[in-house]
Amino acid sequence: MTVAVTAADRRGSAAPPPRRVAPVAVRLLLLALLPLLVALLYWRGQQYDPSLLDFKSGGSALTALLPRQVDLWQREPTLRQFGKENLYEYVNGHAEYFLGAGFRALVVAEYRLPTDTRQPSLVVDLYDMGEPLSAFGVLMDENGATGRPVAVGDAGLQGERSIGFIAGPYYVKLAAFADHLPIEGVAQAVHQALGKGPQASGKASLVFAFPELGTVTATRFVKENYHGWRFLQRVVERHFQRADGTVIQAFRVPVAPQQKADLEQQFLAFFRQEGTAVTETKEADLRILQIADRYEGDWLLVPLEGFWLGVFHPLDEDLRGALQAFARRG
Amino acid sequence: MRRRQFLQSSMVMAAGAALPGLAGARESAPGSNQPAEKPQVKSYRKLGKTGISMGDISFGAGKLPSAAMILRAIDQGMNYFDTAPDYGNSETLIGEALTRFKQRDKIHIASKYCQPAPYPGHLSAGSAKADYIAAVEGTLQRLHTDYLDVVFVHAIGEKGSLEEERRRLLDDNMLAATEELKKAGKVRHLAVSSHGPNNLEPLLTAAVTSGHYDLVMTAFNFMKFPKLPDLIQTAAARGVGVIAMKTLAGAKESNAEVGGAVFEHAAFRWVLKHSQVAGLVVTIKTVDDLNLYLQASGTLFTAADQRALDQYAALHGQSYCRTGCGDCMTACPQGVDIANILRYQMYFEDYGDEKRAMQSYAALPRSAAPCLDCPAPTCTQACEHGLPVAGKLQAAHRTLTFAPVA
Repeated sequence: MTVAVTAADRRGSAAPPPRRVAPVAVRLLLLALLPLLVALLYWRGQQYDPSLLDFKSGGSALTALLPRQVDLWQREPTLRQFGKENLYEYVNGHAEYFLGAGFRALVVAEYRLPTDTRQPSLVVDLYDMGEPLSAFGVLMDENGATGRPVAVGDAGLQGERSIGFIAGPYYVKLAAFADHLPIEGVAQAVHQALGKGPQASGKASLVFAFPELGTVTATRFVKENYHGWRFLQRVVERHFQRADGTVIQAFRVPVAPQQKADLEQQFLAFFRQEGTAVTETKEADLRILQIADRYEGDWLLVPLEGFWLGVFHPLDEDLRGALQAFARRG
Repeated sequence: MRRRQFLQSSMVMAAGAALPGLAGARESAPGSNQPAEKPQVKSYRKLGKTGISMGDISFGAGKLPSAAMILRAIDQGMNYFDTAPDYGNSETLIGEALTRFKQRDKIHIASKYCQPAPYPGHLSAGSAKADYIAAVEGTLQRLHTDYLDVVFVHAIGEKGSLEEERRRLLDDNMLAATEELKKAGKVRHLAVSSHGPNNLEPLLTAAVTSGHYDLVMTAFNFMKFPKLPDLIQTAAARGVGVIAMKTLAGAKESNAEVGGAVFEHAAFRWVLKHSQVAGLVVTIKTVDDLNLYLQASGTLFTAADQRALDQYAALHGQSYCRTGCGDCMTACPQGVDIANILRYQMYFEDYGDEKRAMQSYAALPRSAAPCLDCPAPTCTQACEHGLPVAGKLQAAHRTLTFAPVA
């Protein structure tokens, strides 16, 4: 027969271990070393790297991108810097949204006019969103409902006292604390400064690279379920007007190499299940899927390197020419 | 299916077949695989005395992704579409669909007395008659149609004051505008909707008994509505139509089989077992939603459904803020708009409608900011369903605010 022994039994039955005391010589030696230890800690303390201790004021590449002066506006010396670990301190609850959208870093600068007696009249937030599409998504989510287009950066929207724009992977938000301040000039200056950054050049235009289908009349970002299709996420949609007045909608959706096959399978399975004809043709080097869609009308999808391009229009001569020119441009 | 329902169903399907290119596309499908049979609306019910027979499961266009979704829904037998000027570009997309679907008289469109602004854009009590008329004119323009089947006074009970909301409900200018719009053939029926959180039952009862309203749309689900059965019976007795919304009780499960039944189907069938309810309106965002929801059309509530709902209630009963309950509304001495804040939090978390939730929260006169350091929260004790209200309000404020910390 076995008996379970509980911790309480052990405590009750076991005698306490004998108390050990260090010899006097050892204790004296430790006491003598104490001042040396204190001196060492003091010396190390004087050699610290401030950026390791104060993560808000560290010297990241982002801080260097914000101009010190724009017209009469003077940047305040202290920049606040936030990373993933402390973004919540600034956006107070909305951090998860930014993190989910690809957030990497944020620098906040305040700009003061000579007439600003109390607080600075302008705050500039510079978000590094990692990639242009993420920056564009945040721009549209934050400003799309009420903002009117403004010609700053790769895409810009202006509110009553604010401007949001993107440049490459950066999303920039300018907020003024008084009416009628000419903040567009600051936005332009910040945009120019960003152009000197390591990441900005060239990349942003990729998000908006579409064939020349006409005059651009609208651009929007759709985070998920584009046109009700669960498999199309993070879509940039553009509306074009042709010379004859026809409006064409086109979209591009990012497709990573590892998801290419799976996505195409989902796409084809969906339309097969719908009983919708999908015909594949080749135009020069382009592979074009033409979809005879009873709900969307005839449209086409062009799988390209890194993204898919969709055009809600039948394949006519103009469109064929625009697609081939687009492919040639690479 | 009764013969009349079958005939109505056939009529709408025939209308769907009239979409340009629709039949041809099917026949020309490269045919190895037969297309899957799509779920259809299988039951249509009378909506009070309006003369409308609506599909038991109808289209909520609050997050409409494309015009094509409307055409797809028509093709699957849907004939009632609920939209609003403050539902993004929903009206414009429906208008786009109407330019292709020429048989306007085969479908019913309901919109709201609202401005095309971020939600909520409702016209408040005391708005000029011209404002109400202009709101409908704007809607008609966006919809590319010359009449609305139904216009709603929307979301009554959103404000705390019963008197203020009663004024909005029976506003003379609104009633005069409606009369004028009806005479001009631009509006056919007047309706009111409410998802609470304040005075849902007294306000809808006032609407039903006022004689001005042709139908009401109310939040209605299996979780808790003690007096709503009385209300819908009164409405039925007076020939006022009843439509249900917020039927998924927070939609905390999606396409999940709970207790032997698909949760959405169980929740819909519970609502539709009430014969006074003509139909329910549910937000449809994807083709998958449409196909999933329509599988419940025309089917009967079962014991397995009840088990599913019981299980859902057990799982989420202490986190779901009952729409239309409002027990906590007077509990906060600071006047924090508890139920609306928790509703917006639900939009953010459960519906994935983050932007709308944050915009609506920003528009509230009193946020949950004081809850962050509330010394003596009285709201939690006020909730008879045991929700940790104080904690939920703090979480909601953190989720829904974008303003930088000062």
